Amino acid sequence: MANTIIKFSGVNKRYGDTMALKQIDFELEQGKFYTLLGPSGCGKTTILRILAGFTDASAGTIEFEGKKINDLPANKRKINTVFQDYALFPHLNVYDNVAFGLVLKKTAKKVIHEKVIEALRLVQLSGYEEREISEISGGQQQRVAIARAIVNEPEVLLLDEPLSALDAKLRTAMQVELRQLQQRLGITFVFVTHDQGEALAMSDEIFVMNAGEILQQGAPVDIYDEPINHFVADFIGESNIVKGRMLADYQVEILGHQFECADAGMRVNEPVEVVIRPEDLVLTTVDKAKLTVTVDTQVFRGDIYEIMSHDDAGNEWLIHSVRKTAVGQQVGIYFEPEDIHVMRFGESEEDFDARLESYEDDADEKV
Amino acid sequence: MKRKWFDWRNIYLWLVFLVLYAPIFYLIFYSFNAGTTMTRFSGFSWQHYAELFADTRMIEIVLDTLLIALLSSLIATIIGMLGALAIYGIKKVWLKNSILSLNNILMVSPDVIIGASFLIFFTFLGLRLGFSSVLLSHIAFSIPIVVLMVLPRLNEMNHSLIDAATDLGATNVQVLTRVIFPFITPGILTGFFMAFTYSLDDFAVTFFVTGNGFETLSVEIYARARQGISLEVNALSALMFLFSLLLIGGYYFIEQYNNSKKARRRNRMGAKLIK
Repeated sequence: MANTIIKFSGVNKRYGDTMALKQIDFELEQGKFYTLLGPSGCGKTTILRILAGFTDASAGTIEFEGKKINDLPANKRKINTVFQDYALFPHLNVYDNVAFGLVLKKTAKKVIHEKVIEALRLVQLSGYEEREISEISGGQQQRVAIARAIVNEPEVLLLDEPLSALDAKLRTAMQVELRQLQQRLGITFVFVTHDQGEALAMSDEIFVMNAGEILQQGAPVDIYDEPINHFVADFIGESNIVKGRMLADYQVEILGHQFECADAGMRVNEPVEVVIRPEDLVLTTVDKAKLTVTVDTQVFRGDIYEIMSHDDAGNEWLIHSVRKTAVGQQVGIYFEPEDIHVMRFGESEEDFDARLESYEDDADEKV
Repeated sequence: MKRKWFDWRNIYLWLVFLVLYAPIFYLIFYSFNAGTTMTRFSGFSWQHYAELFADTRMIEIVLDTLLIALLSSLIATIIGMLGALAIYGIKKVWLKNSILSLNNILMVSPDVIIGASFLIFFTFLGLRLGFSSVLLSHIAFSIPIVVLMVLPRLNEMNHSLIDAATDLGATNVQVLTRVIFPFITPGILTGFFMAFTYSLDDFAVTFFVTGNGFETLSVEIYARARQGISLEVNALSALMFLFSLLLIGGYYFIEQYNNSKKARRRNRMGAKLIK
């Protein structure tokens, strides 16, 4: 990669007996929006703190623009952080909060003034300079925190679940704003969240983490469409996961039926797990169906009906449908071969990527 | 709901204040007595005030007492604040708790014992009893007070403020001066004033460690009271009461002024935004 800005190689973090991070390797490119996604306690905030310099890695190297920065203190790094609780200085007003970093650098007063005004304009808080922190709302505090970080013109901006304290509507608005801000500034954002919707909406690339490991890394669409394992499939979006068996390339058996699918490169008769997203399941009549299920519950969500159902083997199927049905009724479900995502047990990310590449080339040749 | 003036709660409150303040007013009342005892009021006179201002020894003692209080509380505030910062920084829970307990023991142990141990300590060191021994002991018993006032403020402080300041490029010293100090200032001020008042009215500890040439107010009044109290003391008490009243009133008005200044600025900002 040409403009790698941050590189983690073999980074470990140990707290007493517990391993918070196990062997983390990744590279971040300049100017992209990255998201570390995972449940609480998965180590995503630890990565952020190691990047910022608040926590030391137990092993491994962290490189910034090609130089090792393990021992560089936080106040010397060209990285700034937006904290989960904003951490605004309560004794300073909005202007002085934003100016804090520049004042420490002994920047000229006039330059500080210009930069602070510009930063506040960027986060749409012009005219709030003289306000006290206690006088502004949570959403505004959040913007001040962002302004305070970006005014220092960092190469990398770290955001530690900065939207978690906002209400749903404001959060959606801020997601769009953050994304736009990142594109305007052209710097690298590393965003930490446990909210998969947020991650999918904002990122160039997502790192899905669990228990101190990065399970999968990729563009939002790839992670959603090709989850590497049960955990990722379950964590990113809602999914129906059933056991199956690979009969041959592009042929999978689920619940005794044989289906065409878009996956290949596995052993014959290999046991696998199959993911089908609820929005890919289409309600149909029993005679046109690929599977037949009985409806258990139906919940109206506004844009869709959320239908819980079960098949004869007792597997549960979640269906998102725009058409409604009736509880207790037998309905057919239909799906396309591309809607079936096959996952092998215990496949590493490298093997997974290699396998996908091998048969995607085949497919290209066939066309 | 109409507010009743006659209310049992109000009556109780007034009664409590009456009981608390009655002795002071009684004292002040007799400071204007023409006679020399507090048993009979024989007419109004400034005589005891005149006596007090003529009594240079008494004036000197008052000034010494104030000096001791000011110096000891100042030094104790600095040491106590640094101590609180150190305790705040301790990671090991057991160590933190033991140091805090040691601090609290000094708060609850009787003054007499502290005074006696200081006396033994100072004589053991061969230190001459007088101004310095009083000052040292006052500093010593004020430090735990300051620690107790500052530590809660520190614990209240969001730890990510420190991270945030470091993140923005602050060195350790800058974190201390620009973030931590401003945040704990209210605690430091409370600690200072508490230490000041403790030092002002301490009798037991001072009694042990004053030597021949040096007295504080409480020790002097105690000494004089043993020979029958002179109404000069009443006059002094009246003046000191008035002094504290003025201090509290001044504090209150400064507070009011600051608040209204803030409110005015807010209003101005609001007007600007509406425009």
